[in-house]
This record gives sequence, structure tokens and C-alpha cells, in this order.
Amino acid sequence: MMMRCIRAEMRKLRGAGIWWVFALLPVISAAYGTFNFMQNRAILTNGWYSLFTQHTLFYALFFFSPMVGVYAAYLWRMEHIGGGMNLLMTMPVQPFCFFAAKGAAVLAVTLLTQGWVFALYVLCGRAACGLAGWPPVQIALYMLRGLLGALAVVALQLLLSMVIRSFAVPVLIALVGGVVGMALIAQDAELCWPYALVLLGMNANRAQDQLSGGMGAYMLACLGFALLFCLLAQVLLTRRDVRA
Amino acid sequence: MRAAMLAERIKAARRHDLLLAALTGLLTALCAAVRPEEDWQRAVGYSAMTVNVSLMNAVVMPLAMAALASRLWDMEIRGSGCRLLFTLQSRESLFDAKALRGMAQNAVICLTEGAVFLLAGRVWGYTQTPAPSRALWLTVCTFVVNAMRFYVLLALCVRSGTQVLPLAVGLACSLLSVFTAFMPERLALLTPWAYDVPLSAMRMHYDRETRITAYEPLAFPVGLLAAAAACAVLGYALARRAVRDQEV
Repeated sequence: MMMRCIRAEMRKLRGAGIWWVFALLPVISAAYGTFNFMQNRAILTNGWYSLFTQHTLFYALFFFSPMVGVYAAYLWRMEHIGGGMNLLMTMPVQPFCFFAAKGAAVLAVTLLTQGWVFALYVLCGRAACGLAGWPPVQIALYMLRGLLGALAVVALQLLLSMVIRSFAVPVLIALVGGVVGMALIAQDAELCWPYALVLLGMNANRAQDQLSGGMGAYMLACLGFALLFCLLAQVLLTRRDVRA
Repeated sequence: MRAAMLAERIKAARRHDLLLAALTGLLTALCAAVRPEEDWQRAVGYSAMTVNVSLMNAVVMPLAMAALASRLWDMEIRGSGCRLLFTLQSRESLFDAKALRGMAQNAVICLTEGAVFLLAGRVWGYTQTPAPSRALWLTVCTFVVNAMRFYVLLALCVRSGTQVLPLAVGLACSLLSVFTAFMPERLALLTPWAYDVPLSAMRMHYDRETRITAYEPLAFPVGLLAAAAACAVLGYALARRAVRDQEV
């Protein structure tokens, strides 16, 4: 049943407008990062690592969460229009299955987004910046760590989009969350804020690995937040009833 | 017109738009506020905040305006409400009521930011004398640039009949604003959605050796503000026309 739910959510994504967001935003971020790297080559001497920070700093800080917010809001949109929520509650499927299926679909698109960001990074590094060789394996690990941080953001955005019927508000909350995250990062309180976890995982604002020796706490924060938001969704969906 | 305004008020019931606007302004200004640790930072507190608020506005407000515009047109998109609405009231009155409501939300954002700007110095003990004229200029500029963004994005909402496109454009503009904020001034003039930065009338100079930042107040760029206002009027006309030409 779960697989059917996931397939249904994936079907909603076919020909959806969110693919424009998926394609366009990382390109802007990559163009900005490459331009900045080229302008400051005298200071940015760490090669592939420096280019990575330039590519992903603003992406991870401000734009990753709203992008996930758009994906999540799009998948809940159909349920919020024309009694779709009632339909969902009356289907012979556990309501939480829908939440989990939407989570799987958003995670799949997020994984593709991370892959697209990485591909642009490699392309810009080799073609535009003339960096020798290939990026270190550690960078790919940073991307995967970012995906771990994304678990918390995906769960939170799905929860917000489920509770808030408006399409736009959860996306705005994600942007403001990123801005607040910036302030918390300055005070070394990143682990307490789900919107700051992607930046921390991707190591987008430092040359040295911020998580060396602190990977356990990071994983605990990511999984803890994700679990908390999933539990909240489960409670809300269980208590919810059909509104005639 | 009064009836149209009342209808908009009823549609906005339990939507908490004004609260959302106030929170957006509050959080943006608070994140831009300078919490000084050294004396030299207290001495330039208001100048630093002028630059920070402008930069934060350039990043946050394109998406915030997209969110407000799309919420205002939300009910018309859901269930193809336009067909019914256009038979009950004139398209112009529907649009004007929405435009007024949008500007009220914009005013709440700007006034909240202006209030935080003036209060920040008292809370964090800035030693710089506050300049009410600078706060007023910042508020007016934010209002005008936000109005431009709001109307253009509302036009996009109406034309596209979907909420994904205006939000995607708002998000892209936010990201591009980060880019243009650090461009040479002449190039930044090509991106009207990020006019907050050239309109701030404050230039920042950073000394890498001493790590001290100095701020140079500039004359208010009245001509640029007039250009932004003209863009806002153009955006208003575009959005009004989009509603007038909307097929149902």
C-alpha cells in the first residue's frame, strides 16, 4: 500500500511547475558562486573546497529550505483544494502513509536537487574556473551530509504544508527560518534549529570540517527533528476527522 | 468600493495576513540588527543597521511579496472563483480592493521595520545619534520597492493562474538580489527588485587589516526612488490590466 501511495505522489510531480524551481535556482546559485570565486581567487586559495563554499553558502543558507518548501506545498496542494483532505481521510489507507509517501517523493526530488547542485559545481569548476582534476571525495560526503540535514527540513515543511492550507506561507516560513538560522549560526547554536542543519552538514561556510568529532550530535539532531515532526504529523492526522 | 473592501476583509478572515506581515518585518529587522560587542560598533550602530536592513530586504522581500500576492489571489485560483466573482462585482473594484489590502500589509511590514530600527539603538545601546530622517527614508524606500514587487508578482499570479510560478520568480529574485547586492552600483540599477541596496544611501567600507567597517552616508537618491515609484505604478497598471483581461 505504501508503494502505491509513493507512486501516486510521484505521478503528481509529472509535468509539475516545481521542476522549473528545481532547474533554475541551483543554476543562479552556481553562477553567483563561480563569479564570486573568480573575482576573489587571490583570497580563495583552497581550490575545489573554496569553490564549494562559494557555490553552496547562500544556497544552503537561504534557498534550500524554500525550495523544499515549494516541493512540499505542491504535494499537499491537491489535498487542500476541493475537499481532497476529506477524500484522503476516507481512503482505506492509514493517513500517515500519505504523509510518509509525500516525504519519500520530496526526498527523491531533494536528492535530485543535490545531484544537480553537485553536477553544476563540477561543471563550473572544470569548465569555468579551470580547476585541475576532480573534486575531493569529501565534497560528495558533504553533499550526502546535507541530505541528512534535509530530512529534518523535509519533515518540517511537510508538516507545515499539511497544517497551513495556504501554498505560499510555508515557503515564506522556510525563508525566514533560513534567515533566523543565519543568526543562530553566528552564535554556534545550529544544532537547535532545523533550518540551519543543511548548512552545517554541507560545511558551506567554513574551510575546515565543522563536524569533525561532532558527527554524532549532528545525526542525532537531524534524526531527532525528523522523528519529532513525523510524530506530530501522525498525531494530527490521527485526530483529524472528515469535515462535511 | 466599500463593498469590495468588505468582501476582501471577509475573505481574509482567519488568514492572519497582517500578523504575518508584521512578523516578516519584525524577523527581518531583528536579523539585520547589529548587536555591538565593541565601542566602535556602538558608534556606527544605526549606519550599520541601515546597510543590513536594506540587504535583508533585498533578499527576503521578493519572496515575501510573492507570498502576500499569491495569498491575496488564492481564493480566486481555488475552485476557479473568478467566474463567480466577476459576475458579482466589477473587475476594477475587485482589483482595487486587493491592491489596497496588499498595500496595507506592505505598510505593516515597513512600519514594523522602521520601529525596530529606532528601538534597536535603545535596546543594544548604540552611541550613534539616531537620524529619524534616515529611518523615514528607509521606510518609504522599502514601501515603494515592495509595492513594485507586489504588483508585478500579483500580475503574474493572475496571468499564470497558478501559485508556483510567482513563488518561483520571487525565490529567483531573492537569490539574484544576493548577487546584485555586491555588484557595481551601475549594474545593480538593472535589477529593480533589488533597489533596496542602492536606495539605502549608505556606503560601507571594510578595512581588511584593522577589520573595522566604516560607513559613509550619501545623499538621498531621490531620482532612483522616483524611478522605483514609476516601476511600481507600471506594475499596478500591469496587474490591473491582467485582472481586466482575465478570461473566465
